[in-house]
Amino acid sequence: MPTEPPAPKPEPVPPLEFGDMCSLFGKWCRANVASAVLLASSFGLLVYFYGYYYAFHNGTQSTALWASLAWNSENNQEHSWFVLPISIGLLWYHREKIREARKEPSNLGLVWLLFGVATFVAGVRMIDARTAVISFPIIIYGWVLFLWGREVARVFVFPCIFLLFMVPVGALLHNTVFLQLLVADTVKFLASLIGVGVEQIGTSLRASDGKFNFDIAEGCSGIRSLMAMITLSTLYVHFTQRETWKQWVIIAGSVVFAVIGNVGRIFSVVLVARFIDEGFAAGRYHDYSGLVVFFPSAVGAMLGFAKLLNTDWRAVAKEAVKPERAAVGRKTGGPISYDY
Amino acid sequence: MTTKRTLVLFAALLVMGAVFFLPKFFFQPLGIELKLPETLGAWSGTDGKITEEEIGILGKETEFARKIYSNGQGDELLVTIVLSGHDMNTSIHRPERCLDAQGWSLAGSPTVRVDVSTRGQLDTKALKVVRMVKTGDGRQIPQMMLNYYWFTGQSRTTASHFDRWLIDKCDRLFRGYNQRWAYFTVAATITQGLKPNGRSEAETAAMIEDFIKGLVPPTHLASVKIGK
Repeated sequence: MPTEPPAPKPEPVPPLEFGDMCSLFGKWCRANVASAVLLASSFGLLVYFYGYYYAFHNGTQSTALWASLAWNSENNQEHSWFVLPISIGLLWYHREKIREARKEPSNLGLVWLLFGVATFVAGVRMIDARTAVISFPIIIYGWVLFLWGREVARVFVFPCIFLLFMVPVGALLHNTVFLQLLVADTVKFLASLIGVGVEQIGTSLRASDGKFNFDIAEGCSGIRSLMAMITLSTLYVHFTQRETWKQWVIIAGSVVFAVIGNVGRIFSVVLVARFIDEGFAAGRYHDYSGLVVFFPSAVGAMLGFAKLLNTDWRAVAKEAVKPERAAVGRKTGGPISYDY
Repeated sequence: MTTKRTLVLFAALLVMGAVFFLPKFFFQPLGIELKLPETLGAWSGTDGKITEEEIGILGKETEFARKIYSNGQGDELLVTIVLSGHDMNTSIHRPERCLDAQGWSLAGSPTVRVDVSTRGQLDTKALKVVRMVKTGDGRQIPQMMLNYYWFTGQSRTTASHFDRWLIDKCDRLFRGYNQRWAYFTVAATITQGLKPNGRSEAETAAMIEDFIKGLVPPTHLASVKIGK
């Protein structure tokens, strides 16, 4: 009996490159002129309302201008400059998923869209640019859900949530005295362990011999690094953790990672001041210690914590028994035998 | 994606234009008298100078009142009222930042409730700050200061920036009005160790709290509810 030849395997689709995407978009625009014009106009509206509608700071700043001015070191918010490019990068990274997703427009998107628009209007009404910034990812999510449907919107969820890191929160999270004191207390304790005499007056640390005098400023309290650390942890768990509870536990752990990193950093500043040079410690070393000490310590703590969470402890327990047998085997020079 | 959908999208975004039709805010009457009393019990005040830096940093509509009070026993209190303009963000900066910029470091910021017997319980934020100063003989010694602050709106008071922020947002969104908040600070140096018979921290705190009890009635209108 003749059998049917096996169906040919589908050709693997080549990955989408930037040039292909532009050319596909160009073709689509030529075929759907009206839709393309409306899409461009919609985009223009967003640019106008977020970039050129001066509603804040006595009518002198737009949402985008206000946010960009707030992304400064005083608010400990410099990392926000990277948020939009990273979100776009995430979408580019997931472009194949977007291409493969079923495009089934959903009217639920309109609800999100209008909610985002209402949030923006409320932000203007409250003269609260922060609320206006929050409305941006909501509008983007609603837009995608309305035009392309759930599957595409699902890919957009994380980049849209990530956009919330653009919202300046430094001024709201101002009560950092307890963190400053925690860092000062811990550094004083660590210094005493190695015999470096340090006097603590409030958030100031002063060498007993007067060789150095530092203040644990607000920026050193952990808030600056905490926000950066939460941003970094969020990205890390997006790419490495599948279970939601683990993602949340690691993000929540950012507070601890940031404090560990900061204590390490300030302690190293004290050590450099004590044993090398106070001027160098308070100047160049202080400025670069974030990169040299804080990030390695905090990121190391995060990776170590993630490894602990992902360790199969039953397997470890089993392994823990094995070495004893192996040791016996090695001692006797051959495999273990109970067949005496 | 149909033309109809993109048209609906465009129409939905056009709703952002509602911002052009929002009714104008009206301003609540002030809840305070922007005038510090000349005398208050044993204290008598002289006008304090508002620095050019303060005027320059804060918004044009910001108004001030400042007096330095002394009680004839060598104690001094620096009392300031900063009345915000229409935009709080350009008028009032939290002292945690200002003091930091002036070289003070924070040693604590508890919320202290002051019993203003005739009016209620006033919540204040009591900042304890410290800095090193040089003595005449070149030694460095710590100088400590207590700085009490709170905010007074048209009808209520709060010591919390977050509460004030939330009240502001709700007022603007649901009631359509803007408040001009007044920011009160009362500060005194802890003189123990700095001069003979100086006041300890507890004595300084008691002195400030006693002063606040007297300061609230003449500066806060009867319409203002003190505390929660």
